[in-house]
Amino acid sequence: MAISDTVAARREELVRRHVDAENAADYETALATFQHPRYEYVATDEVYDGAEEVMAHWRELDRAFPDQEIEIVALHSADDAVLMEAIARGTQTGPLRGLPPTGRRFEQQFLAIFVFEGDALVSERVYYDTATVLQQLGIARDPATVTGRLETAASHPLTISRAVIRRVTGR
Amino acid sequence: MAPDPLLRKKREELVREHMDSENRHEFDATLETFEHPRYELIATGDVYDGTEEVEGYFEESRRAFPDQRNELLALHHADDAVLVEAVIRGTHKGPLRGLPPTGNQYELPILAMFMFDGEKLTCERIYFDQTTVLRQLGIARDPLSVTGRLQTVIGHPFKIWRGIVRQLTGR
Repeated sequence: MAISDTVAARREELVRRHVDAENAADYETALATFQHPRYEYVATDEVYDGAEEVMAHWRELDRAFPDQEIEIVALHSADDAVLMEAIARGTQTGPLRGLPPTGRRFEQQFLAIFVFEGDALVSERVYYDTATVLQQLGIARDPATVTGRLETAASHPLTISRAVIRRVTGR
Repeated sequence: MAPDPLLRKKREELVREHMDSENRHEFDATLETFEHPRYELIATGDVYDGTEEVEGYFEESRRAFPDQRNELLALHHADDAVLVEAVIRGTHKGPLRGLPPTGNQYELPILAMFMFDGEKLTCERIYFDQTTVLRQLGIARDPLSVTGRLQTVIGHPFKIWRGIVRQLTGR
């Protein structure tokens, strides 16, 4: 069942308020845009459910990337969701899960699905690439580059030698 | 302007045929679903534009993961696109950009955005996490896990050292 243009407009307005509040580090306002606060990160399988977990998640991000900003590229309204393409940018000037601050900037395009029940926002599901961020912070290398290949061979001798053996023996 | 039910039906049939033909390994049929063949992989920045480049991309994927399959989880109709949440599974049986085959299986959630001009498919833009694949192929570790952190410290002594100095000196 397709939604009306009015519902779509109301939802998109709410998504913009949500993003603006996050950019302003006004997490009380961001939280209030949820009927039920919930984040799902597809890449890492992490779920933050309920006000407490979502607040803790935002504070963790704010500590690691105090200047983080989200720029909306496009909003796509569907029946039960608004799908947002956006670019996140930030500088890691604080600790990130035990990793000391690198002082480096990241920039990456991601897609967030804001899940709605009627007018109520009940979850945000995020598709992003952890490798892009980690490479830009300088703590992971692209395994397809020369340095990355050397590093892969050096730190994963078993996997690589098994693969070489398999290639040579054809099994 | 939201697409009418008939246009939705046509687009959905095309998207399903696109994904089914990939599972049947009938890549000529997959190619036929495009008015203009084009892939954009957000994580890697790779763009394959036109028949020749897209055929090359299919060929490369088929060589690396000959048994690759997709499973559609959810489909969202927007005005100019159909956005699909799906899982891709495959076994790394062939070379992947210079990396020898590992024989490992992977399972990757993706978001594929099928972009339409009316009822014509003009582009497939894919959001996914590279680390999810590389970890399962055994050629990357999550830098936030304990083993990953040790590896990060070993592989990036200079960067980490600078980070620690910055943390201690507060600059």
